Amino acid sequence: MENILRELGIEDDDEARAALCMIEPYPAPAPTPDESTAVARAALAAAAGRSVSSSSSSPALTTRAVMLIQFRSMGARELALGLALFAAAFVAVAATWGGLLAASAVCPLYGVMFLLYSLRAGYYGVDEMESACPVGPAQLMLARLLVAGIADLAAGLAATCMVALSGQAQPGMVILSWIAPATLFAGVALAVSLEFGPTAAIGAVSVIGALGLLPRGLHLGSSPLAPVGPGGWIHWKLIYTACGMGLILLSMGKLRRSEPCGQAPGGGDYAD
Amino acid sequence: MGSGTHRQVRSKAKRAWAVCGIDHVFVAGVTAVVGPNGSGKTTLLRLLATIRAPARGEVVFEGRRVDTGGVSSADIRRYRACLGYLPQSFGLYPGMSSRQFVRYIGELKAVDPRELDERVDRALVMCGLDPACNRTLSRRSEGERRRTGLAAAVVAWPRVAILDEPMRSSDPIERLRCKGLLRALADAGAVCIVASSAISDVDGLCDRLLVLDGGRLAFAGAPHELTAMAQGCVFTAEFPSAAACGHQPPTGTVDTVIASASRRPGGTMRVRAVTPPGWTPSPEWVPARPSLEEAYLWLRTFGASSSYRD
Repeated sequence: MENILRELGIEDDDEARAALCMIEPYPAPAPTPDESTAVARAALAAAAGRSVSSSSSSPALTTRAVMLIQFRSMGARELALGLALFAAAFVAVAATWGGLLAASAVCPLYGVMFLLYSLRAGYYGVDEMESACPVGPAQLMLARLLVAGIADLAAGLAATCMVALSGQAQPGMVILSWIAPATLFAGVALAVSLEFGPTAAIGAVSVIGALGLLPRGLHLGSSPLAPVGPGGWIHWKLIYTACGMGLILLSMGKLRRSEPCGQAPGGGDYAD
Repeated sequence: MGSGTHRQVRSKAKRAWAVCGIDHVFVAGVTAVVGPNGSGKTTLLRLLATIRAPARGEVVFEGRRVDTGGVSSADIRRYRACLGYLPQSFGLYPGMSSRQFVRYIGELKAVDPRELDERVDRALVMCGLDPACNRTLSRRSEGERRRTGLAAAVVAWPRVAILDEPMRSSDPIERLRCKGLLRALADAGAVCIVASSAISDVDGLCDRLLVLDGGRLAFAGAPHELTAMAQGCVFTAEFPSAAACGHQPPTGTVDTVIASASRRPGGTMRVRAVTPPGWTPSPEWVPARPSLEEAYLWLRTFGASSSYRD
């Protein structure tokens, strides 16, 4: 102990000596000098720190502040990768089948990708740790959904501009083409994930996608998920949008009601 | 000083009460929650950490109800702001570094931004992690990931620290470090509640001990009270060979429990046994002072169904 105090240059510090005495009695193998110093530094830092209190903590975090935290924690790499994947897929589909189809098919997938980002706490198993924070899991998920929604909207509007500038369709048509499946997919994925978890949400979205493409595959006509164009499906797009929005609003209402209850959305069973 | 009251809490899991009839006041210091697997340790800690709501009963912190079945969200938020929680099993965002993750939890804990960096660095150093290391968590070992979780739990220097198996996957040095950290927290006035399935992890560390059995409190008190209960029920003997000791239980029956057997210099075997209360041992057995582990063994094997005396 004396060596450690000497090495740290605090031989005369009684408080430091008391802090070291605190950790000495534990029957563990003797640490190496480096480890001793690290442990000593830790104990001293603890002893020197303020007594436990949250006097400097303010439990009041606004949704905007939580959104900023979520945006920062998203990571520039993840964001750049998401945008790059979206741009690549959009350009590839647009070059092959046209911009309208690209908007109709790629934007919802991009939306689902970001929705899954919203559910990442449950997927990675961080939900329980986040649930013990003052903001609560529901507020966290709401903030993530808002961040994801803004990212989706930005991507969709960028796609709309690209298609509209190419002169393939009116901007209103383009927006309806992507916003209808996007809201439907997002609404279903959100509602299912809140009840059964993110894995079930991926399954539900896949099933809807497959069912939507079935008429095309069976040569029964165009897919209900096809872009808006001559010959219809506009009424279906409106129904999709309404259904999707309804599910999103219901889910958000559920999230708000569950606040600040600790049960993580879609977090699964906590039975011991 | 923080305190938590946990009154007659019940939590229903898989059509059975995971914990039932627990009425306990947690005070500043280290309280260890021990018990066999499935005894309700993790459920109890989750209830206390407001991760799940009790089916009945309540969790009270400084006079205010804070369980998620309560009515005031402000009280729960206030409680969670002073709470540090390490779950038994948890994940981490693989793309983040330890520092980023601890900082992220610190931000969610609403730690003052001016102090956040200092607190993050301090928490990382105390848990044996290098704050300057940018290695992502996906490339960290299990022990390092667990220590990152521990650092995240203490980053706000909590008034109530609820740690579920904090020393799991830790080497002896890390155990020492973790014990030092818990002691420092407790000495600074925090309520530290530590669940462990290994008595050796909490021996010499805890000020109070809770033994759970089948979701009920089998014992609550100071460790020395438990060892006092087992006084006179632990015996030791030395046998010439390992084979001989197997046939010489202290009472001549099979009702004793061999707590430990170690080979001594010269080839003899020293055996320690835990016996039921009031049994007379054979002459080669001499009474021994029970260790905490032996006292726990005695409680689990021969103790009364409830030795709760809070």
